[in-house]
Amino acid sequence: MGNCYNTSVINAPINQVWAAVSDFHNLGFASGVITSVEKIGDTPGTAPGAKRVLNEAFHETLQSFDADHHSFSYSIDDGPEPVAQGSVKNYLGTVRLLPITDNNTTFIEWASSYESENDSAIGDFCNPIYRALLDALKNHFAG
Amino acid sequence: MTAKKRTLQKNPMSKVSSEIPAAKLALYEKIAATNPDIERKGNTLPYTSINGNMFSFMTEEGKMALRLSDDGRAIFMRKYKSQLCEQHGRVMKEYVVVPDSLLRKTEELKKAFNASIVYVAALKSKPAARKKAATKKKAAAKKKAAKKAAVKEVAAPKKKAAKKKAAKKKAAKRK
Repeated sequence: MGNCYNTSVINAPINQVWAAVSDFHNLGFASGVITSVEKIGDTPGTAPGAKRVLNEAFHETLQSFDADHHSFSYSIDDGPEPVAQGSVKNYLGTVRLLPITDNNTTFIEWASSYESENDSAIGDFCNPIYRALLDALKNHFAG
Repeated sequence: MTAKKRTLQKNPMSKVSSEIPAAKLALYEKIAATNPDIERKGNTLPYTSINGNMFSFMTEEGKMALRLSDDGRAIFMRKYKSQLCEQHGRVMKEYVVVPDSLLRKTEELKKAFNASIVYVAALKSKPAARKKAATKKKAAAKKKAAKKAAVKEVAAPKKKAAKKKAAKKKAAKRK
């Protein structure tokens, strides 16, 4: 089983960061990086089962949503290689926030696990994307 | 800062030699390093890629080119008064030239660099395409070999019969 792990500290209180990242259908914090978010179906972006297509390529489904613990998880159902359907199994991404209490900022963890014949190729592919998203989030709250 | 020239050619067998001002190269390496999971590649001409697709490179003249989506290019070119990259007389329609003034502002350029990563990640991967082409080529070669074998099989009895006939003729002549 392979996994990706990326973290960052965001210069904003946890409730603000959660508001920015928790709607599965709204990646406004990453505008410019994520060029399109297509909402599929009627399920709201905070309910498991919500579906989206990012950049016309990544088909994802919200699997769990826990507002109390500021975390959610989603699956990648299809996408470009190496995360295409058939090349990877059980791809589960998890976003989790924790408050940093000494300065009222937020720790964010963007991780994933998956099964594939080429785990490292998926890590090489996904890690730069998560890093780009975390940077976008950091920029969103900068200044 | 003095723009000292540094030869990037590491491989002596490489035919192309490239001289990029060291200061520009350092700035390019700095922007590439902002995403620790991205590796700066290229012995002769530096570039970065994801999933086999190149998304940034530095020209021999020391200009950085960045691959962006349609919207991303339009916004970038308007904002930074830039243009599409031209290489060897050909316009590279997905690549914009990063102005030197922006190349010096790593933090600002990082936004476009990350946008480029995510845009290119959504494209069809290159290795898969190559693999497909190789598989196709292999299948075509197999087909060709099978055809050749079939022709041989058909031709063999004919050849044998002709040989037999010739031998018979020779024997008759001797008599």
